[in-house]
Amino acid sequence: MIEHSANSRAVVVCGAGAAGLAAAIAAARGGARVVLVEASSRLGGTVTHALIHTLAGLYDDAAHFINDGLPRELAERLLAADSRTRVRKLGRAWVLSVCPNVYERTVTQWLAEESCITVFTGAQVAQVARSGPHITQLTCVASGDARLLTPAAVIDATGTAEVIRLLDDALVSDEGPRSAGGWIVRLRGVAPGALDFPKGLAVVRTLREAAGRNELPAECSHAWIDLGIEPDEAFLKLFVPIDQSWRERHGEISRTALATSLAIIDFLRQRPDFAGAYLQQSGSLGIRDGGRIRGRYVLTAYDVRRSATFADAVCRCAWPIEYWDPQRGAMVEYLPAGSSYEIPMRSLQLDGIENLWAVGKCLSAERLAHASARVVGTCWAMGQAAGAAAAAMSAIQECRDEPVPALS
Amino acid sequence: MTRIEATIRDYIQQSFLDGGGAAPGYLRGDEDLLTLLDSLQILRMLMDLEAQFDIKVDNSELTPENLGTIERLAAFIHKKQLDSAYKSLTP
Ligand SMILES: Cc1cc2nc3c(=O)[nH]c(=O)nc-3n(C[C@H](O)[C@H](O)[C@H](O)COP(=O)(O)OP(=O)(O)OC[C@H]3O[C@@H](n4cnc5c(N)ncnc54)[C@H](O)[C@@H]3O)c2cc1C
Repeated sequence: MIEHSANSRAVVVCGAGAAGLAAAIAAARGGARVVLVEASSRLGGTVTHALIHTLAGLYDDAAHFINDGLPRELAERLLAADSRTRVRKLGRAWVLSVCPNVYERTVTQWLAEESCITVFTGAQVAQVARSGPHITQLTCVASGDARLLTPAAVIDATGTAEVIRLLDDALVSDEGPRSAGGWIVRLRGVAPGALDFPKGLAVVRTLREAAGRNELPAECSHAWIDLGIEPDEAFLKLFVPIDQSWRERHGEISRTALATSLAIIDFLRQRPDFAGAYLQQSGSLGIRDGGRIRGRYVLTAYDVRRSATFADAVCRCAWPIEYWDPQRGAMVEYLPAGSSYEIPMRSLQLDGIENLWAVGKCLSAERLAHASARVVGTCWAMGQAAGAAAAAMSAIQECRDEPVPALS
Repeated sequence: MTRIEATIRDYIQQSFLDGGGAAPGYLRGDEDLLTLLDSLQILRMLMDLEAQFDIKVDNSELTPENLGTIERLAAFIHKKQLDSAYKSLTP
């Protein structure tokens, strides 16, 4: 059955992760009617599904908010929602340490408070029609039913540029080496203080040594274990190199990662600090780089290292280049102290299409620039800018659609 | 400054700080390494220094007293070297 939606001339945001949530809220606050289409049944995207618990890209290296607006409002809401949420230093950068479940609850409630946003969960964008410089129609499929939307503007916040791939695969750069993906599980029952710095490094070191002796699978040499939110909690992060085939191999990759995390937990239980540790929750496969659009501007590593500024800047970022090298593991390159770079609107746009934006981790950027810009706070900031621009465009179109008043 | 200190300083400067905004000569012997470097960097440094100085750091030795500054780290490495030299002399 195909249903023609009443939501014509709306801003349609595809994907309810960091960038999509921000885009939807900004577009609604800009006066647009918004339809938010999300493939899964839950809001929050990678943060919710992959158990991200250290939100980066919200602060500069002096712990000040780097972008005002929605990223800052997000941090304030998360701090108010749970007393365990805290600003934490990671190396030379600052993150907001938050329980992923608190994040999901907070954004779900936030969206319900905003007027003019209709959320379709369990719905996938399946078809896109373009006429000249405009996206004219989107087809969403939910449990076998198709819904036709005639949007004023479209925001691809699917993280992996799914909407843009439907238009033309060649608009997405998906080849070559890329940051590894990850698999995160939450452990409880860990002795409090077991991961205190620098003593906690022993745990990671033990995993590396065990991988070197083939007692654990080789990829455990890049596994990491991080403090949790509760004193007896820890997050175990597996390193999962991927290539383009991850879409077809999703099930197989996930099964292997889960088996590896269980093997690590068994191994860690031999340590007194982990004798009582157990798996509390497993995230799903997290994709750091699932393809980036070939936009009007490609953000470069040079831009990131040299604090580039742009006339059409949408936000700032000071996060280090955090590249998860498929062979060597995490490589972190800090930006010069006190510096930040800007992301231009053109990195969120395609040549020749006026009412479409791609926001979040599928922005138009080189591999190493992406390794800095993709973090959660920056995704919120990009989403906000595109949402506001889309709302402005839908307002112009509404005026055009208005019958011209007769002269009396 | 001892030779070990100089080696560690060069290593840190080249591996983690050049291009990272720190001016040359910025790194003092009593600089707090545990705030300057992140955990990944400390881990990498340990493995590289173990190989370079031919020592084996035990997990129980991962303490601020041993790793906290270049001076302390150099003293710790020196002691490890002496220990292993002594061990190789005694039957
Ligand atoms: C293992 C791992 C660890 C990370 N650690 C950190 C960290 O510590 N700090 C940090 O700041 N960042 C971290 N990141 C990066 C960060 O989580 C992501 O870059 C960011 O969350 C991406 O947000 P997004 O909105 O672009 O995409 P996502 O959050 O991935 O959202 C995309 C949404 O689109 C939906 N979708 C997909 N296809 C369709 C479709 N066809 N139709 C409708 N909806 C669709 C998805 O279900 C999803 O909800 C990490 C990433 C990974 C993988």
